Amino acid sequence: MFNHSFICFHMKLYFNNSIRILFLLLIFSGCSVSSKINKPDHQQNYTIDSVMDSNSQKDTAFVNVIESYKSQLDGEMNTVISVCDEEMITGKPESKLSDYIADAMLAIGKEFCVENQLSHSVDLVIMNQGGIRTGMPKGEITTGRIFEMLPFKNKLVIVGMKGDDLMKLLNQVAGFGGEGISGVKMGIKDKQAVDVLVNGTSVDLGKTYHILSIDYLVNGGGGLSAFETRETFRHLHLKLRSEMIKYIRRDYENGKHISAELDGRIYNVE
Amino acid sequence: MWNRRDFLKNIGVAGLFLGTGIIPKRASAAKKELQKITVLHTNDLHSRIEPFPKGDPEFGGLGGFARIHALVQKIRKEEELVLLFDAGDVFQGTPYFNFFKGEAEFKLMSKMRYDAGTIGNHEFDNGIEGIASQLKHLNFPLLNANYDFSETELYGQIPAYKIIDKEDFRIGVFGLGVNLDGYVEPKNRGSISYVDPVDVTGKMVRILKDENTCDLVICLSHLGLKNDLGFDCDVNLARKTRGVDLIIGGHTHTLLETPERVLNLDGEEVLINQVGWAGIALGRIDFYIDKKNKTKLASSKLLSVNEELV
Repeated sequence: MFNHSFICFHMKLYFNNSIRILFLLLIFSGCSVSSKINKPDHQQNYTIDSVMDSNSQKDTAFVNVIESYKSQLDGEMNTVISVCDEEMITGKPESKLSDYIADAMLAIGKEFCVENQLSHSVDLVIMNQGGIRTGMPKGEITTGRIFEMLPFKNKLVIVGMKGDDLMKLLNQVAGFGGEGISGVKMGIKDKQAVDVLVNGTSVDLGKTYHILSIDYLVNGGGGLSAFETRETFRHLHLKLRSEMIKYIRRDYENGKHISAELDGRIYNVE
Repeated sequence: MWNRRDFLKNIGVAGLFLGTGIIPKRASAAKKELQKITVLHTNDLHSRIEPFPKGDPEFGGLGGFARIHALVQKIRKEEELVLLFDAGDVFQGTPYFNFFKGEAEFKLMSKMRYDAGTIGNHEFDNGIEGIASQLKHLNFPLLNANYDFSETELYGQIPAYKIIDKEDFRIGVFGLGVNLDGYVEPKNRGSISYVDPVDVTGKMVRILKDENTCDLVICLSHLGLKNDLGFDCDVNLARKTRGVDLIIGGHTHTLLETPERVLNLDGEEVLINQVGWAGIALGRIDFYIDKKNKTKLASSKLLSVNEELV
C-alpha cells in the first residue's frame, strides 16, 4: 500500500493484530540563507514590538486581553536598573550567571549579618541553577528581566551546619553536577565533592558553617535533603529577587555594571 | 534530537521550518481513504505571554501567545479536525504570573480553545489554592490521573481523563504529573499523594480503549522525557504500558525535532513528543486513521513560533 522507502518506522501489529501505526517523517529544511536575527547591542525594554506581528494582531479581542494585563506591568517592569557588559547564561558545573548571582547573595548575606549584629557571618552560598530561569542579556537590564530570571517567591535563609553535614550537602551538589556556589571551591569526582575549600581552607568536620541559601532548597524543594541536618535556621524575611534588584541598582549607581568571570570555583575532576 | 542551541541556530538561519518531505504520491492516494486528526500541542509555557525580548541570549524574539494563537487559528482553518493540548507548567516565569497569578495565561488559553491541559509542578508555586483559585478562568479541563487530591481543595475539580467525540472519532485523553517530592515544597503540595503512573495508565487504557472504544489514546504527561536517576519518565512509561498512542510530554523542556518512538509492552510504537518550553515552538502530529482497515499513520512537524509566522 505504501512506498516503504518513505516510511520511517516499521508497521507494528496493534490490538486485534490489525491496527497499524505508521510514522511519516517530514524533513525540515535547513536552507542556508543568511541570518535574519541580528542581536541588538542593547536589550530592548521589556516591551517587544514583535507581539505586534501583523498576523498575530488580527484577533483584536485576543490582543486586547494581553494589552489589558501588559499595560499594568509595563511601567514598573520597563525600568532600567543596570547595564550588563556581556551576555551570561547558566550552565554546569560553573557558569558566569550562577557565579554572579551566588556572589551577590554572599555579599547580601554578609551585609545582613553585620547590620543585624549577628555573632557569625555567612561562609558560603548555595543557589540552584534551576532557580535561575533565563539568561542575562548584554545591554540595559530592566526590572522585568530580573523577574523573569528569578521568578519564584524564594526567600533568603541562613542555616548553620556542622562540617561533616556540610560535606554531605556538597556531595549532593556534586551529584547534581554542580549548582551556583560562592565562598567555596570544590571539584566533582564520581558525583562526590573533592578538594573542598571554604574561604580557602579545608573543611573542619566539627566546626559550624553558615550557609546562605533559599527557603525552597532548605525546605526540601530541590532534592538537597542534606539540608535537613541543619543545626540552626534563620529566616531573613527577604525575597531573593527584591534583594538582587536592590543590589544590582546600588552597584549601578556606584558605576558598577553587571559582569562576572569564571574562576574555577566548581569543576569536574577527570 | 537537536539540542536547543542547534535548534536556535537553525531557526536563526531558516526562519520558519518548512516541511519538505511531502508524503509520497502513493501514500497520498491512500490518504484519501484515511481520515485525518491534527493534534497540536505546547508544554511548559511558563507564563511567556509576550515573546522573549530580542536581546535574550538563548531565545531572543521567540514565542508569544498571540503568535501561537494565530498559528493555531490558521491550522484550524486548513484542517477539519484539530485538537489542542498542553502538558503543564503554564505558570511561572514572567511578571504576568507574579502579578496576575495565572489568570492571564488561563484566560488566553481558553480563547485559544485548548481541549485539555495537565498539572505541572510549577502549577503549585502558589500552593494548592493557587491552582483552585484560577480554575474559574479556564474553559477546558486540567487532567490528572495520578495525584490523589482527596482532602484538598482540588478534590473533584481535576478529572483523570476526557473523552472527545469528533465526527466519527473518539479520542481519549488523560493526564499524568511528576512526583512532587524534590520539586514542590511540602507546604505547597499539602496532602497530595503520587500514584504510580504505570498502574494508572493501565487503568486509563482499560477505561478509554476497552470500555469506551477510543480510536486514539493520548497521554498528557508532565513526567519528563527521560530520567538518568531511574525515576518515572515518558520513555519508561511507554515501555511499561500498552494501548497509548501518543504521549505529549513536558517538564524536561526537551525540544524534539521529531517524536521519540518507543516500543510498548505489545511491541507497538508509542510516539512521545515535547517541544522545548515557553512557547518557542508548537508541536503538530497528524494522525491518518482508516477505521475500516484499522490502520493509523502519523506525521509530525515542529513549528517555530517566531515573528515570521504566516
